[in-house]
Amino acid sequence: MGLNEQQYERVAQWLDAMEVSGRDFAAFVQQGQPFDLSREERLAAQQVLRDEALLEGALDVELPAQATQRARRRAVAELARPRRILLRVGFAAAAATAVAAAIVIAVSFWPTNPSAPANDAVGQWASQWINAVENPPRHDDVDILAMQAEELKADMVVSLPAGGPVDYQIDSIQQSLDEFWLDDPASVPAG
Amino acid sequence: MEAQRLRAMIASAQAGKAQGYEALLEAYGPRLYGYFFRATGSHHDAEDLLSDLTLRLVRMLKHYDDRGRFEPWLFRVAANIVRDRIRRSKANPTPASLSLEDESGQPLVDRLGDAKTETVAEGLLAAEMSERLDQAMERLDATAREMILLRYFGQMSFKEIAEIFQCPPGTVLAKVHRGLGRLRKLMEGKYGPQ
Repeated sequence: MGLNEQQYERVAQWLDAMEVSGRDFAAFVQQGQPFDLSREERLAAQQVLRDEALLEGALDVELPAQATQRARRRAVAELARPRRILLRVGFAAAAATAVAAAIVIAVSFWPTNPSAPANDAVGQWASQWINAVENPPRHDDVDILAMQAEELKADMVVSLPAGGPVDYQIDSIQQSLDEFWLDDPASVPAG
Repeated sequence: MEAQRLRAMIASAQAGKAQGYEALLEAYGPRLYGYFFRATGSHHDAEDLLSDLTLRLVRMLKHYDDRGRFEPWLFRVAANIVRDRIRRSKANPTPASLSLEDESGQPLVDRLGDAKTETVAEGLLAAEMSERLDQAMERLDATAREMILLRYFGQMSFKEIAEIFQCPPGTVLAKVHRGLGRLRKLMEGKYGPQ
């Protein structure tokens, strides 16, 4: 019996609907069929169902035990695979973290100036001495003395005639002042 | 299979439990193995394909949305595996020759017989019939054979098979109809009307 493409399409839909309904052919024809099949279409549907029924049980094959065991082993191995990957990633991350921490620690303790002495006390004393010379501590007695020297210098410039002996005296006072500053300021008794 | 029991197995498998996959193997293994064997004609290939399917199940089941259509989904995966294997071998599958033996050395013909037969004569007849069925299947068009096997083992509708082969359901029916008719004639031609 030759059906055309459209007829085969109708029969395929009809057979699928019948299988979903769970009814047998006759019951489905009587109740529930989505549309009527032509006689030719109905014969084709019945022939397919009969031929398929003839095969029932004939194609079955015994499942070997080793096939099942092999499939089981494959499943177990594949299920364990993500955990193995996670473990490897975890170890790699931990190792990378340890290396990074070691680098950070090494850098933090590494001296920035390779030529600097390990003991910085000498450097500190030197900087204190330099600071003391450039920024000497202020004492009242020294301030007073300096002020008096300036006043005397000014008086002499005004009262004495220009030239010879006066310049010598000023120079002498200036020299005394300079020598005073060169002495250790700490020797000046506290006022 | 009972729908609730199937849902529990799928849920267990999706949760990554080995017993879920074992239960699915126990439930569908015989049909899957039968499909693979009939499609390739080789017990060795059938065992390989069953193992491959299990691997794919573990990887794909987490993405499966259980809407009560597990069997067609499962056999769709199986059909893709078979087609991949056939494509790789670049040859039509051939049924197992009766001269082949299984892993225990037992002739395959003994394994193809009906397990329910009680007499030796009935067992031999069943084995002979199975052999002839294998030869008749071999003479079918490969696509028609695969469609018939999916109907038989996967219990798939014409529409579901059409989705696999990307053709109209009517085309699937036409191939199945003609293939079954040819099988019947081949079997009748050898042994008379059934």
